[in-house]
Amino acid sequence: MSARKLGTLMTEQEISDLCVASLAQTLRVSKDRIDTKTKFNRLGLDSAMVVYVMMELEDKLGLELTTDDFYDHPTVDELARYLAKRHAARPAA
Amino acid sequence: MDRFSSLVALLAERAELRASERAYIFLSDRGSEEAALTYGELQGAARALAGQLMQRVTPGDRALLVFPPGLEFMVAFFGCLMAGVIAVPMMMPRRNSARDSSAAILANCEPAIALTTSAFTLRGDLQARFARGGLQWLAVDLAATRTDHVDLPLPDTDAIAFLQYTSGSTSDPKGVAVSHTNLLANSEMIRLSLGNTSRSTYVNWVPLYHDMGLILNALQAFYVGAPCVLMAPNAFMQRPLNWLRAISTYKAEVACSPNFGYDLCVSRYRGEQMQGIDLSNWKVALNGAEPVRADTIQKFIETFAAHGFQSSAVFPAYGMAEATLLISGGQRGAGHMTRTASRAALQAHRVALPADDADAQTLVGCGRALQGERIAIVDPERLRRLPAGEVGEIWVNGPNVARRYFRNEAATINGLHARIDGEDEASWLRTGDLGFLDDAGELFVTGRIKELIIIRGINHYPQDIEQTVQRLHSSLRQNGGAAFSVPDENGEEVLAIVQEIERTERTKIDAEELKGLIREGVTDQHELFARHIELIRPGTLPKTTSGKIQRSLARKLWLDARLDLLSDKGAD
Repeated sequence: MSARKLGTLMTEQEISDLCVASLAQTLRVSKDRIDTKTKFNRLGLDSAMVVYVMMELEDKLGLELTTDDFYDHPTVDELARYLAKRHAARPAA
Repeated sequence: MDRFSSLVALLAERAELRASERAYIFLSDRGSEEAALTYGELQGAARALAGQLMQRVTPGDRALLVFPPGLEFMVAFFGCLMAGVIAVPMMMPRRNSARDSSAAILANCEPAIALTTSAFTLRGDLQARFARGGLQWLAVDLAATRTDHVDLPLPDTDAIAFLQYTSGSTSDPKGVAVSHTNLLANSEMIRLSLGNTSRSTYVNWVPLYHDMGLILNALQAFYVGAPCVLMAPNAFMQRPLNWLRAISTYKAEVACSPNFGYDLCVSRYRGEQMQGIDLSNWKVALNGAEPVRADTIQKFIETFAAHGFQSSAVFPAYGMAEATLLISGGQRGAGHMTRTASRAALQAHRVALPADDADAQTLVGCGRALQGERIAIVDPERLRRLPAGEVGEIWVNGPNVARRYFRNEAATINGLHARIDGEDEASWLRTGDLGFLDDAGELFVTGRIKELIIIRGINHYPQDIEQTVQRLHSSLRQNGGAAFSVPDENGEEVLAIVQEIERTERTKIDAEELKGLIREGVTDQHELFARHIELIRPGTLPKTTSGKIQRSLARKLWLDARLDLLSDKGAD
């Protein structure tokens, strides 16, 4: 993990972009097909895929997440808002 | 191994001779020990449960086992065996899942009681989901709370030990009736094939409601008297390297997974997370429950050899619930064998040398028939046995093959009591899978006749998915859809759905909206991503003259891009 990722705070927009990129890669669709207001299950994300996306976000944000976070915040917009708060509040690395 | 009349008799002996040794250990998501059961504790808790069961239900009644990951499942399973109650392991329904996907199974087995943990008896939605007349809930605890003495006769060896439903939530449910005889026979076959002893510690993440998790892991470890370390399936999915860490920590000899689990370990490999992990004690890395892929094995060996993983531990295998579990396997320490064949010829159900590199497909041998069992390759239409080197349907005969499906006579006769034309009266299991045997008897699985969709080791019936789709919206034509699997860029199976639109609706619908609805419905109800969805014109889905959906033809049309897509001519 690079120093930048741990050292620099990511904005909500950057986190949202990260979610979109990860979802697009997992679902193997282009990024413009991922609407940030569409629910994850409508995008077709099954529970195994939730785990893949979660792992990538954990890696990039230095956070510990659970799959429940995805059910409690079921769109990119909601998840990014929630993650941005947690990301900002996390202890300095 | 000594002969026991059932696993109940074996548990009684274990509890007497090795009461304080640990049978099962459950790891938390962080890898620490969360719970453990010795043989003595298992026997005590299972006996207490059996006593409670006998006060409430009658031997031969069915009990649903609906458990979150943990050891309570094992207490419930053995408690049912002791009480002569037929256990029916079920998947825990997903939290937000919209519909009761188990209705057909419940209608088929008519359970009298449902068992779960104390915490989950409080979950209202669980009870609502399984709501049906007369179903009572009973909480199962690890500690034996009651000590009333109850007389528990040993089970009749031909009695049904448990039902293993082979998926099929809305369509014709098939519950394999596994007898005590089947269970013991397959346990012994697995022991011999894997070369297990009481030192063969297991580490298992495969869910216990899945036959691989239960028979090949939890019950096999118990059978040979080795500890079985269990972890939650989700913990594995999130951090697959923790599975490898547990294998190292407990010096496990045996750990099994469907093919995708090995891929997951490779894709989640992080050098720094592998520190201190030594895989050199791992003797059997069984790969089964879905097609075994040569490139997966190769990548796994390349990635983990530096951490002590030995290629000789690779153990491809083939099995299914109808044969209790294992049908074929290799030999401990022998590694795997591959064979290169022509892809085009295999698609035509023939084995031939590849024409060129592009035509070459590497097949992985899944071992040979087990002790006391026979495998035949049979022409699926003429029912004649085929010689070595020819592709046909894989048939199995042996003491591990179940005699029947529960309350499903048609499926029993067709699937479990088949006869080979021109041979004796032996009764065979028709697997629905295609393959061939080489001259030495090594089995190569090459495809499937049955229309089952297998993704990440879980079986899905296309009929169930099609019905889900057609219930979503009135414009989606009844009996006008086909679900099947197609290979993705990496050769892994993904789900494709084609669905007809009602004639009267086809100019009014929003195709993207409907596809979204289908994706959502299939995700929620089947835990599957519908990677490809095509809406087609009414009356264009291939069907037989009697109206039966031709899924393999639909699949071929999809692959050749020859479907009559709505979007192509939607504006007419």
